[in-house]
Order: sequence, then C-alpha cells, then structure tokens
Amino acid sequence: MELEKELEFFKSQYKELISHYENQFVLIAGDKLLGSFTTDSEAYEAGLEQLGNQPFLIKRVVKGEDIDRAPALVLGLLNASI
Amino acid sequence: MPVYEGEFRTQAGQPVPGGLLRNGPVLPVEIAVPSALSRFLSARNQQIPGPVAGFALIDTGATRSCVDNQVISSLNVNPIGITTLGTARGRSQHHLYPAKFSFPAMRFEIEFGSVVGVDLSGQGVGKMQIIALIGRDVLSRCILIYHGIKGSFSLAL
Repeated sequence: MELEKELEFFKSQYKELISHYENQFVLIAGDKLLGSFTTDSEAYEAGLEQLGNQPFLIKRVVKGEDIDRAPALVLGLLNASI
Repeated sequence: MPVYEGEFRTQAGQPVPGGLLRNGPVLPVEIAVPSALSRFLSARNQQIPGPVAGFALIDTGATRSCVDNQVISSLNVNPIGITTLGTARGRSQHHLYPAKFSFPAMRFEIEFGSVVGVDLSGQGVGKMQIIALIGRDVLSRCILIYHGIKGSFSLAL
C-alpha cells in the first residue's frame, strides 16, 4: 500500500515528533521529514511544490490513534433491503 | 445559508413512494481536484482533469466524508495519508485524499484537507452512481432534517 513506508517512519519517530510538533501537520516523503505546518492545506501546497503531484504523507501529530468509522459502508448496508 | 430540499419525484412531478427509504438522502455532487493541485497544474501548463458528477449519500454513521477510489484516481489526485476504518468486522486501512466537492444545486463547494478513499462501485440511484459519502465532518456544520413520513429531507450547509 502506498505511503506505508512514510507511516512507518512517522510511527518510529513519534516520540520525537510529539515533543516538537504536537497538533501540527507534518509532511513526510520516504523516511524524511520535510516540514511542519499549521494546517493540512499548507502542508499539501508545500508537498506539491517540493515533490510535485506524487504521493506524500501529511499527518497531524496528536496523542492517541485516529480511527475513522463508516459502519454502513464497510458492512455493505448502503443499499440493504428491509 | 444554502439549503437543499431532497425529495424523489417522477418526471411528471409526482412523489415516488418509498424513494427516500430505498435510496437514502442523496444529492448531486461533483468531485474535482483540490484547488491547490489545480493551481499547481495550471502554473505548469498541465491539463486539469474535469470534475466527475454523481450523487453523494449523507451517511450519519461515517465520521469522515468518503470518495470513490476510482473517481479520485481518475482525477490523478495522489494519496496524502492512510486511515484505519473501524467497524464491527474489524479494522481496514484506506488511503486519504485531498478533494473538492461541489454541490451545483446549492452553488456550494467544500475543500477537504482529506477524505477517505473507499469502494463505492455498484452503489447508485437510477443511472447515477454514488461517488461520495457525506460524513459527520461536514454534518457537524449543517442542519439536517430527515422527514421519513413525507419522504423528504433538507440539508442546510
């Protein structure tokens, strides 16, 4: 899966990142931290300028794991018959 | 505040019994490349892919809005993250993408820092495919009225 390497780097550097960049958005490509930003849109524009239209990781540095939920979608209930 | 009044009617203007029950609260949407990517491509004289039209389903169960994987890929938008979707069946990983949703009926646009890429193939209303889910990230700024008895809904953004 694309960006797995970047996510692994984020996890490996998490303690360092949370101590310096809590609540900021970090821009990561490969195993390099390219910058930290106040908003995700700033990080995206910086990523485009530095790397072009390529996959790169933008992740907010927060305490705890982010889990999104979309139960109807994943359970296949969007068009369930009742 | 733009308002969308959703109701299923025939071409003759008659209410479709059970339309909202079968299809859910859906509204026309266009998915486009994010504005930052448009500016980036334009500055380099590169072609900007045109928006893709379809329906968005309002999904109060989804924490975050979602876009169909095939649609976002067709726009040459690259992923900017990975998220974990948690359900009763366990967890699965999905890419995150920046995206712009336009609602032509409301003349309203939302620029998303990220939406979740998911497989919405085969989900449709008539001949139009559902290409996006509107999650609680958007609904947190809206008023949604679901009138099940009448078979209509209103969304104020």
